[in-house]
Formats: sequence, structure tokens, C-alpha cells
Amino acid sequence: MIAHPETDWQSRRNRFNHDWLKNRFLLALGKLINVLDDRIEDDDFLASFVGGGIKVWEAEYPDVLSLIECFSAKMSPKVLFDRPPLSRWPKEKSWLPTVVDVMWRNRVQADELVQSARESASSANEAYLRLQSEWGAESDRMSVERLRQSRVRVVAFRDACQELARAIEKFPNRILVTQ
Amino acid sequence: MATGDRMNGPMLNYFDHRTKEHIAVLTVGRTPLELFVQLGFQPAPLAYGRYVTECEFSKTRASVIIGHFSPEQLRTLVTDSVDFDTDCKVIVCVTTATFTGDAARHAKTTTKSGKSLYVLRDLRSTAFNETELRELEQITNEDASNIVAGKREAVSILLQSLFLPCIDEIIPALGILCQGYLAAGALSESQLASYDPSDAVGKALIGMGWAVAYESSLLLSRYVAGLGLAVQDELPGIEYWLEPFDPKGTRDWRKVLDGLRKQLEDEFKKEVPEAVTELLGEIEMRIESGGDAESSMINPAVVARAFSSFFSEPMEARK
Repeated sequence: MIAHPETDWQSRRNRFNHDWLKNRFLLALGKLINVLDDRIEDDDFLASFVGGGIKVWEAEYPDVLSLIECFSAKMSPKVLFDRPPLSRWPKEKSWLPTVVDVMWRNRVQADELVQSARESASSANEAYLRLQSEWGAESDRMSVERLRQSRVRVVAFRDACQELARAIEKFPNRILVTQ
Repeated sequence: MATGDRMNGPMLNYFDHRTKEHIAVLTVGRTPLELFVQLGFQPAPLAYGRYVTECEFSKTRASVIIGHFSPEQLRTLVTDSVDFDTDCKVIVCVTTATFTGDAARHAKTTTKSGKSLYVLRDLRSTAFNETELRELEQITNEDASNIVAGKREAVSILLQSLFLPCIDEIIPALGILCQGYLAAGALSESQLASYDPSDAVGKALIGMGWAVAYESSLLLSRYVAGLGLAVQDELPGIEYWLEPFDPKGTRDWRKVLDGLRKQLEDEFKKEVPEAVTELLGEIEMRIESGGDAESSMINPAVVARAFSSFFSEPMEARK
């Protein structure tokens, strides 16, 4: 099924940023930090999140990269030329979709938004890889005391994820024809 | 992927990886000739005569069949004794606005053998363009069900445009045409020299994002050479303003303009901005004069005022 280009990108963003990153993953990372700080005690959570839950990042990272990279293709008003009435615009007169796209990129600073989000995602992934490298393959069997030694890396990963969430939020949530 | 099955007529086979279904796009009867051309079949009369018949239709083992039916064929399918001895579960029927039977509107019904029959109405009944066709070929049971249920938000814009009424977004489209006109003017040599950010045109150029390009010169240097001449060639014509609003390609600009006015009244809730009315008036004058290219030019200031009046708030395409 080919989804509505606008809704498709928007729904993908909502699913990643709102549903997963902010309302599940960041909350879980915050809880992990609280456990490591001894503010709360939840051994089951610790085992399941450190042993598996946090690794969901590995599946989400390619998806968010894809989301970022297709922003311009999906959210530029150029896509209006794919639906009536502008789909009737003669295909050989490609200058108008091009000019509309160029001006939109100027208005919303599309390239800068994409670059910023791309860098934020990359930083978050690097923070995750550093954390996993420190934990090694035995993460699901590590004690709280052992995990506490990597608290700085957990916080760094959490902060990078928060920065990524902010970068994704900055994308316009509609196909804007004017400023 | 699609594979044309020339032996069985114009049928394309798909495998939907999401639903794990085989889908046969099967065109039946006197479907618009252009559709067959898009599907890769020769428009020769002999070939047309060999298109699939209802009899051949019954031989398919696809789980989903999408057929483009004439009103008579559809009526037969729904009301008479015709049924299909196939393995299909769902038949998606694309028909035209002229059918007035029980399934005249989008509807779901059941054939005698319990197959779901989705009837989708092609309101425009015109030839499909390439994009529309690609989407039509990939329609799923879920799409069909959502269309029949009128769940506009659940189906793509293109499927909405094919099967659900009132989808044209006139204001954004006209706004984009204004942008193109003003950008084209700004690209011309004379306008570049006289660009004034304080007048109506200048303000519109700023509002639509052109000013950034102008001031930085980065994009101008890239696009003036490549697009400038083509843009200037496009500027004068009435067609520029009205062709997108002429779905049937009549080129009866008077009627097209009347239709555009009505659609704008609907979208603006009867309160069409004065500057937009002025722009339409300028277009009308040029229709009446049957003017040449020179006299068809509309003052960019008129366009700029219309553009600015569209949007007191940021303008977005409707979801």
C-alpha cells in the first residue's frame, strides 16, 4: 500500500518520537538512571531493560535515519504535484515543482534541519555503542554495582536521545506552502 | 512485482508482502483505452478486442481481483445470477459515476458464494496518470474497505482523489501558482535589477522564501541559468493559471474559470479575499480579449497581493 505521503511521514515521526522515544525509551532510560542512583529498586526492570529493552535502539536507529533522510521528499509542497489539481500540471514543465521545492527549503531551512537531526541520531548511536562496548556481552548478568560504573555512559546516551527528540520535534508537522 | 500475463489478457500479478496475498489486477470490459496503454498494451483495435472477458475473469486464482467494470457489467455482477468460480475472496470493482444501480456509490456487498465485493466509484472516469495507476494497482483489501467506509484519513491522497469526492485543494494550488509566477518574474533580468523588498512583490518574495535565495545569490546562480529561460517562456499564458483546474482538458477557459471561482468560494467559505477576486478578474479579462502573449501578462503586483491575501496564517495542505 502506498500511504498518504504526508500522513505517512507524520505517523512515522509520531510513532518514533512520541510513542517510542519520548514515552517509552527515554522514560526507561530515566528509570535505569534512578535505579543506578538507588532512588528506586526494580530488579525485574533492570534485568529486562539492560538485557534486552535497551537493544531496541539497534532496530530503531536505521528507521529514524530513514525518517530523517526522506523528510524533504515527503514534506515539501512539491508533493502537491502528485495529487489534484496540480497533478495536472504538465510533467515537462518541471521548473515549477523545482522552484517551489527550492523556496520551501529556504523557508523551513530543510537542509539544516536534516543535518542537525542526522548528527543528533549519529551522536545517540555512538553513545549507545560506547555503552554497549563497556557492558560487553554479559550485560544481562551484570550486578547493579557493576552497572553503576557505567552510569556516566548511560546518562550520556539518555542526553543524546533527548537531543535527538528535540531535533526531530523541530521538523514542520505539515506541508507548508507559505512561511 | 508486476508481471504481465499476456496469455490471459491484461492482468498484472502482484504479491503483497504485508498481507501475504497474491493480487491480480484484472481489467475487464471497456476500460478507458489510456489505462491499457499505461499497462503496456498496444492500443490497436485488435488488441482491444482481446481484452479479458467475464468468462476469462472467472479463471483467475488470485485472492483479490481488481476490475474496472462498465455500469452494465457491475449491475450484472451485483444483481443477476453471475458469480465467479474463483478462489478470490475480494473483488474490487472500479466503475464510473454513471452507474445508478444498488451499488451506485461506494459499497460493500456479497456475491452468492460469499465473496466480498467492494464497489468503488471512479468519479472522474478519466484516464489515469502514471502515479494514479501505480497506486491503483497496489490497492489492498484494507484500502478498499476503508474507501467503502469513507475513512478518508485511512487512505492515501491519490486513492482519495480517485474514489472520494471533493479532494481538490484549490487554495494551496493557486498559492503555488502565484509563487511560481512571482519567482519567474524575479528570475527575469529586469526584475532582478528592480527587486524591492518593501513593495508588494518584494514582500511576497520574502514570504515565500525567495528573498533568502536572492540575498544569498547561491540559488540564483544555480537556477537562473538553468531555469530562467524556461520560466520566462511559461509566464504569459492563461494556461498557466487555469490548466490545473481543467480536469477534463476542455481548454474552455471561461468555464474553467467559473468552476475555479466556485471552488474558491467553497474553500474560502464564500469570503474570497478581494485581492484574489482581482487576480481572477485579470485572468478573465485576458480570456475575453483572447490576448496574445504580451497582453496576457498579469502585473506581478496583482499576483503578489493575491498571494499575500491568501494566508494570514501559515498555509498548509489539507490532510
